[in-house]
Amino acid sequence: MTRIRQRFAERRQEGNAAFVAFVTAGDPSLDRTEEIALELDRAGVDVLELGVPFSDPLADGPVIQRASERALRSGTSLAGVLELVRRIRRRSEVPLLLFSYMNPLFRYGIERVATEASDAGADGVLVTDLPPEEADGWLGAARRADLDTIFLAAPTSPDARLQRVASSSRGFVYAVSRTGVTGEQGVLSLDASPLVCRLKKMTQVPVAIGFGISTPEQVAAAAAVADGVVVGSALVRFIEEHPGGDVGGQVRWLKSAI
Amino acid sequence: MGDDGVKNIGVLHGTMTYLLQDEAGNVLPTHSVSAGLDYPAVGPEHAWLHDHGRVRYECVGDQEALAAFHLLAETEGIIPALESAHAVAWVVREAASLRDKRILLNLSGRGDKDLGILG
Repeated sequence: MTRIRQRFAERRQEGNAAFVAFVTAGDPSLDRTEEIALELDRAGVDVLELGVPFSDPLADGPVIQRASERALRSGTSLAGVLELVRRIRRRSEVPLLLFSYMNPLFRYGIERVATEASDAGADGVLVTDLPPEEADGWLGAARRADLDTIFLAAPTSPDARLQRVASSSRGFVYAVSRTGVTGEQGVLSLDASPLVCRLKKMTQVPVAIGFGISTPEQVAAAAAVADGVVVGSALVRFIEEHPGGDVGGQVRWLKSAI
Repeated sequence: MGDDGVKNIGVLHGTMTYLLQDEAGNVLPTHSVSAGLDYPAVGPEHAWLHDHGRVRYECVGDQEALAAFHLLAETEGIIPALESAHAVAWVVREAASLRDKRILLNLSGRGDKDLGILG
């Protein structure tokens, strides 16, 4: 039982949705991300997603693209992110999920990254641009290392594909609220709710909604239909504008309407 | 993939192929005077043909391609796309050694679109 599964189970028992926060590791520095991680834990984040910066973040909108560029400029690599996980784990039991594109993992070595991430204290990995149809090798490595594997489900996916996404996911399934890239938007897309319902008919694995959630009202709306809510760009933008700011306060504000 | 580049294999835009990348798997910047060739990876069909030894791939630089572009325009009245001008440049370079052979050049596109770049 990973920390991610444990935490979702606890929240479900209380009748609450889990709050999942995304930040880009190394933005503005790995030292600052370590502090942010601890602040987020204290603010009641249930799962922390650490983004591994990549030169071509094709699923991300401008906010996370800029964060990725800042993190790369500060010298952040996958090896540095694994060391960050180790440092956070010495000081916190917050469930940790690495959020990466495939190529940095592939370059590092699939078996090696699974083993080292697990040893460092990570609980799962989400590989943004790895479809489950291509994931056999990765799933084997992740299962052997007891890492949860989270896959993205899109509102445009037909049932057969959702089945595949759901059956490959451990920890939770990430329901993408809309088509397109990550980023804030004014109104939470109405696409999200039917997708969550379809997924929940197929799997016992918790379903979290993400992409475009940036206000307490949107968090509450997502929490009403899903087991978890993911907020990324809104926090990353706050860190961009206030690199030393009270990011924990942002989380308390976002959670205030649940 | 082939032995000549395990280190150079990567995943970008949904494809595993030969990729220009650094040690951490970040994609390196590229340059070509031809927009269609200004890409850090190789199409997966070409990677496969290369690995199976069916096709030999050669390099042509900007200056050689531009010279070939002008040569074809001035001698034949045909304006090749800058992408295709790379193939013309290779034929010019290798013509002497292919004297008794038949050469089939695939002029895959027209260069009207590139005149803005050249002007």
